[in-house]
Amino acid sequence: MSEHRNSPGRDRFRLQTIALSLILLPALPLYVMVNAGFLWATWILMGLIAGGMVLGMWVS
Amino acid sequence: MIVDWVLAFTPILLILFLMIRFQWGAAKAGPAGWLVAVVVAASRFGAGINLLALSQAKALLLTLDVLLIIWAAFLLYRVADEAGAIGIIGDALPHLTADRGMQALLIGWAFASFLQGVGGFGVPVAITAPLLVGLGFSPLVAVLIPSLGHAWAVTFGSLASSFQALIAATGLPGETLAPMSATLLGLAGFGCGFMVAHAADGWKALRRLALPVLLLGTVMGVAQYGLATNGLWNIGGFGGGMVGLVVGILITPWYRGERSQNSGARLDRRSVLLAFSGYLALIAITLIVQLIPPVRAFLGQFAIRVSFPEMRTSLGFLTPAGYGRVIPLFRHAGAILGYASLIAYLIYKQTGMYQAGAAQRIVSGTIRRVMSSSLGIAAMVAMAVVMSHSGMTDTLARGLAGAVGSFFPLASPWIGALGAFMTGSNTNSNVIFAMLQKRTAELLGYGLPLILAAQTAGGAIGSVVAPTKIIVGASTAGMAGKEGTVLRSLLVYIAILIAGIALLVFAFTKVGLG
Repeated sequence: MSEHRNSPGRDRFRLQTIALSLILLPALPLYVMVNAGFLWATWILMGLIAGGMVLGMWVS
Repeated sequence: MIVDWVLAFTPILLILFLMIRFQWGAAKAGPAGWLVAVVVAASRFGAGINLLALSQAKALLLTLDVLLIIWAAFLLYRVADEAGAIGIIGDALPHLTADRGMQALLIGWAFASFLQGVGGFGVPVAITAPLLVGLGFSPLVAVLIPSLGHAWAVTFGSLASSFQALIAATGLPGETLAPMSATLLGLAGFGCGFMVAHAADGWKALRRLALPVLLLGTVMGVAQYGLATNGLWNIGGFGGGMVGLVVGILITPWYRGERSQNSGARLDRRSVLLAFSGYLALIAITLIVQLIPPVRAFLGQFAIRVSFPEMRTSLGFLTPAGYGRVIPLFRHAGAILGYASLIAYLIYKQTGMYQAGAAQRIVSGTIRRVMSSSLGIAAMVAMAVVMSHSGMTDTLARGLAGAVGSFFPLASPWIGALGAFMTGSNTNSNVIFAMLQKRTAELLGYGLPLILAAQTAGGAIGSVVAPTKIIVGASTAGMAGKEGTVLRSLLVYIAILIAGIALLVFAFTKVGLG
C-alpha cells in the first residue's frame, strides 16, 4: 500500500477523479442555469466540463 | 450532404483512429471525441449553447445509469475475490474431469460465462487462462478457450451493464430489447461452445462433445433468455453461466477421461458452497426486488426523474420534450448489486474468509479499477448525446441507410463488432453506435429490437478481440508480447461467429421477425 501513496499511479488516479467530477458535477447546475436563462453561468459550467474533458485526456 | 455526413462521422472516426493508431484508451480518446462533437455540432449543425448544456445534463443521467452498475458489479466481484471465493471455485472445477474437451467446456465456457456474468472487465480470461495452462493446455489455447467461451455472455454479463447501456442510449425499454437480444446471443452461445471444443481438441472434439455442447448451450441460453425476458436481465449472463456450471458438473461423470492428475484430491464441497454464497445472495435479492410487488413498489418510489424541454437546432432538427433517463435509486440494478455486495461481505466475514484490512482493500481496489473506465464512459455518453440532439446521428443514419439499403441487417452486427473492437467494450460500442443503428433501422423500416440485438450481439462477440482484452489474456497466460498471435487465431473464430449472426439477422428479416 505504501508504494501507492506517492506513486505516479496515485497522482493519475487523483487527477482522473477530478476530471470525472468536472465532467459530471457541473451538469446538475447546468440544467438549472439553462432553465433560469443565466447564459453567462451556462458558458462557465460548459467551460468546466470542457476543462474536465481536457484534463481527462491529458492525465489518461 | 457528403460533407455533413463526413463531419458527423468525425468524432467517431477520431476515437477509432486514436485508439487504433495511437493505442489510446477510452478514457483518453473519449474526451477527444466529445470535444470534436461539440465543435462540429455548434459550427455545422446549428447546436446552440442551451442545447449543448441540456444535452450534457441528459448525458449525466445516462452516465449514472450505466456507471452505477459498473461500480457495483466490480464491488461485488472484489468482495468475492478478496475472500478467495473466485479462486476456490476455479480450483474446484479441474477435480471433476480429466477429459480435456470437457475441462475446456466446463472451465473455459461455463465458468468463464459465469465470471463474465458477475465480473466482466477481462476477468473471465484473466482467471481461467492460468487454470487451463496449469491443466496442460498450451498458453495460446488457454487464452483462446475462455476468450471464445465467454463472448456470448458479454451483453448480459457484468450484471448487464452493456445491455443497460443499450437501453440508456436508445431510450427503449429493456422489455422490448431483451427477447431478441437474448435469442441472438443464446444462438451465438452454441457457436461459442463448438469453437471452445475445437480450440481445445481439434475437429474430432466437435463430434465427440456435440452432446454436452448442445446440452450446455441450451440450458445456458434458455436460462439467460428466461431471466432477461422477465425483467431480470441484470442476472441474465450470471444465471446462464451458473446453470451451465451446475449442469456441466452433473454431466461430468460421463466425460471423466483418464484420471491421471487430481484423482487423489478431494473436493471440499463446503468451501465451494461458501464461495458461491455471495452470488446466491445476489440471486435471492434480485428475485425479491423484482418479483415481490410491494417490495418493488416501495423501492421504486425514490427515483431521479428530470423533465427536459423541447430542443431545436438553428437548422430545425427537433428533439421533443420529455423525461431524461429515470433512475429508481433503490431499485436500480446498481443498488441491488450494492445490497448483494454487503450481504456477501457479511457472509464471508462471518465465516472468517477475510484477512485484516479486507474492507479497505475492497473499496480502494474497486475505486481504482473503475475510475479510468468511468471517465471513458462519461465522455463517450456525452458525445453520443450531443451527436443525437444536434442531428449528427440522424445525418449519419440517413447516409448509411442510403448506402447499404436492404443489406443493412447484414452490416449491423459488424458495426457493433467494429465499435467493440475499437473501443474495447460492448458497453462503449452500444453507447456510440446504438442510436445510429436505431435511426438507420427506423429509416429503412426494420424492427428496432432485431437491429439493436444485432448491434449488441456483434458488440459482445467483437469485444473479445479488443486489444485491451487480448493484452490481459495474453499476459495472464504467459504470452505477453505475443498478442499478435492470439489476435490472429481469435479473429478467424470471431469472424465466423459474427458472419453467422449477420446471416441469422438477415434471415430473421426475411421471415418477418424484424
